[in-house]
Amino acid sequence: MGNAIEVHGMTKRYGNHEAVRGIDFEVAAGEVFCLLGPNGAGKTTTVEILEGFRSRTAGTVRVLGFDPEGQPVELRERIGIVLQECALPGELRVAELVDSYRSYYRHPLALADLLAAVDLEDDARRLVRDLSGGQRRRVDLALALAGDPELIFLDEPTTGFDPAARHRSWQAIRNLVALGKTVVLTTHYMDEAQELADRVAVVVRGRIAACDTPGRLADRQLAPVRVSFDVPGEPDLPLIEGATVHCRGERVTITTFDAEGQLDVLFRWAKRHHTRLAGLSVSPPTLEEVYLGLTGAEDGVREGVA
Amino acid sequence: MTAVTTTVRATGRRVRLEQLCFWRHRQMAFFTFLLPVALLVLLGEMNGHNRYQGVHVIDWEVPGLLAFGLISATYTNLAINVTSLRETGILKRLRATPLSARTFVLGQIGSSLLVAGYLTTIFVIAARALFGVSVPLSHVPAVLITLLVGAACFCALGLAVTIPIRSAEAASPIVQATYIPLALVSGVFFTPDTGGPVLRAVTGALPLRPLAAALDACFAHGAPGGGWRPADLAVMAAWGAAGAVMAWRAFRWTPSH
Repeated sequence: MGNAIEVHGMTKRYGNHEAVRGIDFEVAAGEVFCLLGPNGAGKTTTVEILEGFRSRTAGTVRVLGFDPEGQPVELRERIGIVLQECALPGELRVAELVDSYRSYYRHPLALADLLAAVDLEDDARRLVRDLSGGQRRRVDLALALAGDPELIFLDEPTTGFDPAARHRSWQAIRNLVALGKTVVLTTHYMDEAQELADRVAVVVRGRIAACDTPGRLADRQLAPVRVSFDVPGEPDLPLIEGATVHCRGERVTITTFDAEGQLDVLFRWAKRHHTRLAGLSVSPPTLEEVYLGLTGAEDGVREGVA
Repeated sequence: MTAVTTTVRATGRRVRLEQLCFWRHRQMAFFTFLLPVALLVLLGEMNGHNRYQGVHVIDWEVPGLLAFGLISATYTNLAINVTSLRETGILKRLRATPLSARTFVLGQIGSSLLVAGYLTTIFVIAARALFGVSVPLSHVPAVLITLLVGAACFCALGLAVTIPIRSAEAASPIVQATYIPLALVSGVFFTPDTGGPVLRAVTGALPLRPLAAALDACFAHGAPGGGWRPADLAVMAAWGAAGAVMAWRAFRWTPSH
């Protein structure tokens, strides 16, 4: 299958501020592609250019073969969009609203299937204004699916959700993947990208600092892993090269780029001393750490990616 | 299905949806719909039996308040509604679908005209039942055309006035401010000959006094020309055309901020 999206040398300038500073990427059909980055990195600007809501300053953009600028109706027929701000008319019932969106498309999905896909069958008769934020967001997703789109844009689909609502939304998004949809997702949550995406582009200050599968991104050692456990006394712990140790009471935290190597020597030490590594936890880098790592290495990484 | 029937059906669906929203939005329904009817009853009871220039005041008030109601259902209703749909992002959300601007706008207009139709019907019945005021049979064509031209004019102006409004909250005060003072000086709440010659010349060139005056002629028994006021209709048509061109050229899906 070909590419659903192709972006080359895309920039966006607002006056003196360059929000997008030359980005390139491709999204294959059927792929879940994630733009990950902190607020203000240029994620929303980028997706809104792909959706046709904003014009670009330079570069070429193809979405399902179309230039999205001007939002041609043939393109709108084939894509689904969940915008960052969830704006729905509160006076309509869920089923009425979803049904109205179905009527805008030539080949809509069945109402029952749409409500099932976002787990809102039991709320079909409720007014939108009476729903929780998470439920509204899932209604919004059902609206994006109404026309049975090939490609779906989700701009920060779970920002501000409690953990249960996030997991329900993730399940709804996984349902799309199972249907073979191409998904472009923006988020500032590392775990969301890891959970859902086939490939992640880390966007930092208007550029793609790194673009790879979530697993390989973590392997790139852009930021250290933290290994923590409880151990009584102040033992002489073995450390591998480059690892640093920090103690607070009995809690020991070792920071290292090579978690496997460090764990290996720790386990052997524990066995030798007949002790346990109580409450052992291994924490991958947070987005902030990857972000800081990438910002520091921005120019070098960028050349490596291009 | 031809393109025309597709558009008609799509517009019909939009009208139905807008009607659901309108009647469930109680404040909106109250102010656009009940207020003009309530004013008719209250003002009519208050001073309708008085005489002014040999005519019962209610005979002036009914056409004036009908003009007010027509504007409320078209201009106010459309302007506030379309602005808040746009500024809250609901329109942007709709833009993600293949729905055309034409279908959307026609749906909004259709819904407003429906409200205007209900309002006019209730108004005419109430005026007749409560105050014995009615349109002479020979004036029926004139009153229908006048209502239609007025509704079209104020729909177009209602869409045009959304252009400079930059937030949903500002929509209601700005829209009210554009026509309540004008309604007062145009004699909508009293007689259409309110004000001195200069004020009357100015308000006569604006669309509100012509609507009130034209409706007044429709209700006037024994008026010459079968209730027709072609000059007033022309003023409204010109304003309507200008408003329609502006509204169409400046239509936006996205919020100001």
